Amino acid sequence: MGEATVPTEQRPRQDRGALALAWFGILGAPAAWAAQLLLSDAFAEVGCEAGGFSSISLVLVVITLAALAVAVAAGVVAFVRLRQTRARDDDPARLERMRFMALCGCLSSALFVILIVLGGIVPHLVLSTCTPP
Amino acid sequence: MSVARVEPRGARSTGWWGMALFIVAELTLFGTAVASYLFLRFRAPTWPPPGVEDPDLVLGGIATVLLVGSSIPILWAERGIERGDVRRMRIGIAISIVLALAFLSIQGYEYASASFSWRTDAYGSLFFTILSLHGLHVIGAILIVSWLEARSFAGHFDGDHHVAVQTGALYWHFVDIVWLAIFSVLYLSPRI
Amino acid sequence: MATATEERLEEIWGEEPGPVSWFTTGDHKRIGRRYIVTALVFFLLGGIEAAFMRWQLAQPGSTHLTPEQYDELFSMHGTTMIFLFITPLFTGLANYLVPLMIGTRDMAFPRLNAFSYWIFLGAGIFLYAGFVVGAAPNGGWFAYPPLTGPIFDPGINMDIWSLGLIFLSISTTAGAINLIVTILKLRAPGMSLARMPLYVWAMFVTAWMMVLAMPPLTYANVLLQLDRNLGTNFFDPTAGGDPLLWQHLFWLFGHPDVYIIFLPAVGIVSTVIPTFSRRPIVGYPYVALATVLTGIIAFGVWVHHMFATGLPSLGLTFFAAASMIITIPSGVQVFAWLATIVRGRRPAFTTPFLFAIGFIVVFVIGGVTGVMFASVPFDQGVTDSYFVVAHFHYVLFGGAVFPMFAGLHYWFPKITGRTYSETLGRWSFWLIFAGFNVTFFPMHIMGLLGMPRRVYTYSPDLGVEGLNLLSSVGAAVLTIGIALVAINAIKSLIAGSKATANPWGAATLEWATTSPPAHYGFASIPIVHGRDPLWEQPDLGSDLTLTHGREILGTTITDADPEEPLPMPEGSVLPLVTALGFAAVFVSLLVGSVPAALVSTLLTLGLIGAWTWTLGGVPG
Repeated sequence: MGEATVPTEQRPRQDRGALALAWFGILGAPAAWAAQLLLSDAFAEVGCEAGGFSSISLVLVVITLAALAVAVAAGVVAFVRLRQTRARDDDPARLERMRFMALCGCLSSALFVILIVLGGIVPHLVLSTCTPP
Repeated sequence: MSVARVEPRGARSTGWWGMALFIVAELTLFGTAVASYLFLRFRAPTWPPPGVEDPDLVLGGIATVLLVGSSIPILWAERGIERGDVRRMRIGIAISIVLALAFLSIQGYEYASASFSWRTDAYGSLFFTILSLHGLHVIGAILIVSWLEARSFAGHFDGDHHVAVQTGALYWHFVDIVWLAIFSVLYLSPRI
Repeated sequence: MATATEERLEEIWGEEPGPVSWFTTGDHKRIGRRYIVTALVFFLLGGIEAAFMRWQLAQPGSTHLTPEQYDELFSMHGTTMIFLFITPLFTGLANYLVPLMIGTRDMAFPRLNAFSYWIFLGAGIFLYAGFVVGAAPNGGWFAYPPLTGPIFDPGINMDIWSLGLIFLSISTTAGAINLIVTILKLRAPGMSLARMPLYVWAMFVTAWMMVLAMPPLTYANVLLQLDRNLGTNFFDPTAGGDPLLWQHLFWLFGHPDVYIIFLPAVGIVSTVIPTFSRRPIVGYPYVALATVLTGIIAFGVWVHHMFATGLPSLGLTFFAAASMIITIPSGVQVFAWLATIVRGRRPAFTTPFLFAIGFIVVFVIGGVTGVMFASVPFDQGVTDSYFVVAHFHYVLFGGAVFPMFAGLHYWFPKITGRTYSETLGRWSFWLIFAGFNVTFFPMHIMGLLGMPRRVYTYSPDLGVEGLNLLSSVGAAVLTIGIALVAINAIKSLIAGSKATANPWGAATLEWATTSPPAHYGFASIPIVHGRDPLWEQPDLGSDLTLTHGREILGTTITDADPEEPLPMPEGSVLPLVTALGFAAVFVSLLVGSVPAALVSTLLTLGLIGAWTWTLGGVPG
C-alpha cells in the first residue's frame, strides 16, 4: 500500500479557494464563449431585422471584447496555477491532480480565446452584412 | 484502512447530487422555454399582439411574493430538522404549502379571466404553455413536500437523518427561483 | 476456492436465477447486458428498414415501395438507429463497465437504473406500435413542421413519434444522472480526476451532455403535440409562430446528440488502442480535455444545420467558426491514438484493434466532409443532397458503430466468460469495412451529381443509377459482415473456450474481476495509485471489504478521498411497475383519453411515492 491509504482525517484539508480557481481556469473561457455566442446571435437576429448591421455592430464588438477578457483571465489564472504547483505539496496524488487541472485550464482557455476571436472579430473585418448568404 | 460509518448529509450524499442534476435538467427546460418566448417575441411587430392586454402586474406581483416568499418557511423548516426539531419542520412545510396553493389560485384566476386562449395566436400559446409548465412544477413541489410531511409523522426524520428533506427543499427553492425568471420575461418584458 | 470474504459477499449481493430476480434486479451487470441485447435487436430492425430502402433505390423508378411506405421506413430507420440502438447500446455498455472500471460494486441508484431500462424498452415498443397499427412515424427523424403539423400530417403517426420520444427522454435523463453521480462519488480511493480511465471521462462528458441536450427536444416535442392536438400556434407563421423555432429547438438537441453518440466511441477507442499497443495512451491529459471541449463546443454549432434557411450572415459566422474549431479537439485525439500505436510495442492486430483502426480511417473521412460543411457556401451547394447522407453515415457508422464492434469484441470475454473466434472476427471486420465503404462512398458522388435525399426514387436522367446499384450491392456485403459477427457471438456463447480474468493483459480495473465478474464485483475495494492500475500495481487488494451489508464506498469528487460507506437497496419490483405506470400515461395521451391519463398519472405518482418512502431518512 502507498500514500493513498492515509485515512481522511490526516490528509491536508481541501483548499476550497484553490479548487474554485482551478475550475474557473477550465470552465471560465467556455462560459465566456457561450455567453458571447448566445448574446451575439440574439442581437444579430433581432438587430438585423430591426435596424441593420450598423445598429448592432458596436454591441457585438463590446460583447466579444468582454468575453475575450474573461477567457484570457481564466487562461492567466490557469497558467499561474500551473507554475505555482511545483513540488510544494507533499501529497503527490493531489499535486498530480492540481497540475492536471491547471494544464487543462491553459489549453481550454487558449482554444476558446481563438474561438471567440474567430467568431466575433474576424467577421467584422470581412463581412459586415445582415443579408442572408 | 478504516472508514467511519457516518450518515452522509447534504452534498456528501448521492441523493442530493441526483436532485441537483435533475434540477439542472429542469433549468435547461425552463431556459429553453424562456428562449422560445423571446425568439417569437422579437419576430413580432407588436407584443402582445393587438387586442391582447398586458399581463396583470398587480396579480403577478402578489403571486410572486407568495411563491418566492414560500421559500422562507421551507428554509426555516430545513434549519429546524437539522437541529432535530421535527415540529418546526412540519410547521414550516405546512406554511409553504398554503402559500403555494394561494399562488396557484391566483394563476387559476388569471387563466379564467384572460381575454385570449392558447389557440388565439403564438402569444397566447406561449403564455399559457409556459405558465402551465411552471404551474405543474409547483404542484410537483407541493406533492414532494407533502410527502415529506407525511413521512415526518412516521418518524422518518431526525437531526442526523434528513437528506430527503434537504433534497425536497432544494427542489422547492428551484421552483421559486425559476418563477422569478418567468415573471420577468412574461409579465415585465412586454412593457419594455 | 472462495475465501470466507467472497462467500459472505456472495451471500449479500448474490441473486437467485429465475423470474423473480429477473424482474426485480438492480445489478448493473444484468441491466447493462439487457440494454445491449435490446439495442442490438433495434439495430437489426433499423438494418432491415435500411435494406428495404436500398432495395427500392437500387434502380431508378422502382415501385417496390410506395412513397408513403418509404417515408415511414426512412423515418423509422433514423429514429431507430439514433434513439433506440446506438445510445442505449453505449448506455448499457457504460452501465456494465463504469462501476467496474472505477472500482465499485454498482451504480449510485440501482433501482433507477432498472427503471431506465424498462422505460427504454417501453418507449421502443411504443414507437414501433406505429407499424402495427399501420401508422408509423413518417416525418423523418427530424420532424420539421409544418409538414408534421396538424394540417399536413393529421394521422397518429407523428404523435407516436413525439410522445414516444418524450417517453424515452425519461430513461435517457435518469440514466445520465445515474452515471454522473456514480462517476463523481463512487470512484475507488486514489482515483482522482487525473487518473480516471478515458472511457470513464468519455461517459462522464456524454452523461452531462444528455442532461443538457434532452430538455430542448422534450420541449420541442411538447410544443409539437400542442400544435397538433390543442390548436396552439408555435410553428404557424400566420398566427405569430415560426417553423424555424422547431429547427432551433430540435438542433439544439440534435447536434449535441451526435456527440452523445460519438464520445462513448472515443472512450472505447482510447481503451482498446493502448491495450493492444501494449503501452499507456500518449497524451492522456490532452485526450481527456479534448473529450470535455468537444462536449462543450458541441452545444454551440447547431445552426450549421440551418445554413440554408435564410438567417442573416452575421449570425451564421459564429456557428461556422465553432464548427471548424470543434475539429481541433477531435484531431488531437486522432493524433494521440496514432502516436500510441506508432510508439507501441509490436501491436496485436486483434479484431477489436482492427475495428479501432477502421474507425480512425472512416471517421477521419467523415470528419473531412464535415469540415467542408462548416463553410456556408459549400453547405448551401450540397444541402439536402446525398452528400449529407454520405457524411453522416461516415461519422456515425464509422464514428460509433465501428468502435461499438471493437468494444463488443474487446469486452466479450469479460461479459460472457467465453472467447470469440478471432478468424471469424477478422473476416467480419474486412467484410464490414469493405461493404460499408462500397455502400456509402458513392453517395458523396451521387450528392454532388444532384441526387436529393429523402426521396423514394429518382430519375435515370440524373445519371446516378449505377452508383445507386453499387451502393445497394455494398449494403448486401455489409449485411453479410454483420451477420458473421452475430454468428461469431452465438457460436462462442455456446461453445467458446472459457476466458481468463484478463486475456488481453489490459490495464483497467474491470479486468481485475473474474470473467464474468461475481455479483459483488470486487472482493475488496481497490486503492488506485495511477492511470493504469493493473499495469502499475500487481497487488491491488485492500482491506476495504465492506461486508457489513450491501455497501459501496463514497469518495470525494476531485481526489476520490474515502468518505463513508453507502448502503445499497435490495432488488425491487417498483422500477418495473412504475415504468408501466408511465407507459399507461403515454398511451392514454396518444389515444387522447383524459380520464385514462389522469388515472394513470395518479397511479404513477402513487408508485413514485411508494418508491421514495424509504429514501433519505432514518434507516430501517
